[in-house]
Amino acid sequence: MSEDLRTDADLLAAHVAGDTSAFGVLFARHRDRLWAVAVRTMGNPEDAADGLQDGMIAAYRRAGSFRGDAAVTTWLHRVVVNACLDRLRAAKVRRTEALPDDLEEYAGRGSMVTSVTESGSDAGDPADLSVRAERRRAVLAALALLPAEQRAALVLVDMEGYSVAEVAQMLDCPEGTVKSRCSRGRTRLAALLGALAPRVDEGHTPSRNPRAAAAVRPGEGTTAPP
Amino acid sequence: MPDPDPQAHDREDDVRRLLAEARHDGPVPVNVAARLDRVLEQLAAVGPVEVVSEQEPAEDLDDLDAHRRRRRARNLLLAAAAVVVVGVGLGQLGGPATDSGSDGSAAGGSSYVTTSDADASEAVPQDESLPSAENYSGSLAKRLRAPEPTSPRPVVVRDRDFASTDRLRALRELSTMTRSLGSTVEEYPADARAGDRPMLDSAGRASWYACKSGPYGEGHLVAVQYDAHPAVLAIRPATGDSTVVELLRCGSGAVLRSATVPLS
Repeated sequence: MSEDLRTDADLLAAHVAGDTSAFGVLFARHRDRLWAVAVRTMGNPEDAADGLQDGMIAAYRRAGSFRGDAAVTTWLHRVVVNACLDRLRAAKVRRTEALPDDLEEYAGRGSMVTSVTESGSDAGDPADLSVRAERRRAVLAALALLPAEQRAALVLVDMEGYSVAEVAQMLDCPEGTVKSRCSRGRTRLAALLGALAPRVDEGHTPSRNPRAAAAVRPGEGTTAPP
Repeated sequence: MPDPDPQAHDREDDVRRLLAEARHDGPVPVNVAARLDRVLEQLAAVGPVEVVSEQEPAEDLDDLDAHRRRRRARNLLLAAAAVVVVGVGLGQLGGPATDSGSDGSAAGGSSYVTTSDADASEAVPQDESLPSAENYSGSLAKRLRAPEPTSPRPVVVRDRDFASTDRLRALRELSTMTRSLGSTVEEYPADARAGDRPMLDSAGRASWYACKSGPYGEGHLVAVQYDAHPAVLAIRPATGDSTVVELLRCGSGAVLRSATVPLS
């Protein structure tokens, strides 16, 4: 099967023009990242599948209204995130997962923050991998306790690495609102995860949060990823 | 100027790193991808894309009447009429209720109707420009079917039924009830309304439901009523430890509501 080299904008336009396969190609191109956003926003795979499907259907039907004032990927993310948030609001269920029973156990394992920032750390150490897995689980559990809007903002900014400006377009709100949601969400997470993320030793300079890999989000002018 | 609260700033950095570490990196699961592909196939079968304003709540699929006002009737009727043409040409449509043994039990009642009845809710215009049966793909024609009502009273489904796991499980159980109990099935218990009289036509068939065969996909189909209109509740074959329940529009098979239900 030959690779479809059309840009995202071309595919969307073709879909609107009646090409029955164009939307499928476009959506498949970005489906993994959209799935990642849905999973982290909804908190579990089952609800994420439903939210992603809702978003896909909405994007399919609303394609004709895309004005081109944002990247197609930004628009797709907006539709999917809104579909997920709509489901969360409709269900009015806050996904909760139990935090680790004994947070002291994790505090006793040393600073998890330093283990994140140290380069060349024992990535293959089974004990380290186990700690990371547990920490990840705790982070996700705490994330699930946040209000949906804060959660969505943090998923897009801190997990997926989108800029505040892009996320503002996705969430259809001012940039200040995105910053506020992120700030409040991080503050609350910090409180929830206090035992997991003790302050680093004095003198250690923490690095900035790394941005998501560029290959994850191809630019508007690019063709299908290799 | 020194940071007024350096600890809070550092703490925020810590949280951001933890969040970045917890980023989901895996691909979309195979079963989810297959589900999305199937839905895309159904959407493509409906017809050309209709321009829907961003301001319109396109997801507000509760309001079927508003949806019909917005939609160009010809697109839906063309699709429905084509299904009718195929149905007449092929004779018996579809087959047993389940394509692939969902819930592991044999199909009981039929889950398809042939062509549009006189009391069909959607009239089909006589249009010589409609596509002929020969132009319809064989694979799509094989999947055209519709459920028959197994209750003299409407089996009502509402949006709130998709909002909780318990109610979703009850919806899923509808498939078992309608297959085994036939005409003794009462209307959906959670929505029972006192004083409802059975709605039967002169032949004793449930007159509250008339739905054309359509691309409703795999699984068990249940005749239901949604927002006072006939609709199709599709219980998809289980994948792993869950199953998908979808509420579909009669005729086009467009997905109105969907949810994943754990089997346990």
